[in-house]
Amino acid sequence: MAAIDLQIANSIGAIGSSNERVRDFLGECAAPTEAIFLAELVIEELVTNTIKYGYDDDGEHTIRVGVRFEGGALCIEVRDDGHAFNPLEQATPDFSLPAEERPIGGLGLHLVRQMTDEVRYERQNGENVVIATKTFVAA
Amino acid sequence: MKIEDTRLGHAVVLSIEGRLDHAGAEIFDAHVSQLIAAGERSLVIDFHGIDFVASTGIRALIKPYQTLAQAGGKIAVAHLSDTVREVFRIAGIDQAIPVFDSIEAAAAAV
Repeated sequence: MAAIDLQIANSIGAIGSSNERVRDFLGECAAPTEAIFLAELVIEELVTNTIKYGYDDDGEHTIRVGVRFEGGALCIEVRDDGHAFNPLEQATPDFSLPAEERPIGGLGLHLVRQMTDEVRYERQNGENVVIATKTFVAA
Repeated sequence: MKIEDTRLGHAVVLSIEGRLDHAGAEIFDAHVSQLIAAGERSLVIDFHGIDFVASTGIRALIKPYQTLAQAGGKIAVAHLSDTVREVFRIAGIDQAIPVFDSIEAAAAAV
């Protein structure tokens, strides 16, 4: 199975170079552009969330990201040692409000949930583990 | 993120190129805020050169939309890729900011 594992420091600036490596890896796998976009979106949103809100200290942490692509199936695993946080328990943005009155918090997680087939969350040995999957059918 | 401004009638067209991620959104936000502070009230954002948008990018669009709505101005977007259009739809921002297939149509609407 084609896979890449990355370690991302808890700094927003570190996400860009990691996503470059994911782009290169999925390009080598001949993944569709939608899969590359989605992988980058999931990593950008989940890792940004962890860096901004996941830690109770100012110390250095490492967020581990695994990306696998096989037979059209994309799987992204994000693992961090922040405080317990289940993204699936976060409220969906209130779409009954006009866009200009809608609170914009939670939008990133909403995009991840809506654009993937499945998002799973587990708390394992003091770590948050989020696994997002999506299968792309060849056109 | 690279931004180039051109004028089309009364509108300023911002051709943006790169990624509307966290870093790109900061550059975009600073650029648009400057245009609005200088008195521009009709903005068209040309997404032709954009292949990635995250929620930070959506927020960077909502902010000038709100500012312009209060100031009697308008913002529109054009040339979205299929995936970026899907992000707009899921985020619900296409209900507020009109999406066009051409710059000319977008400029006529702002």
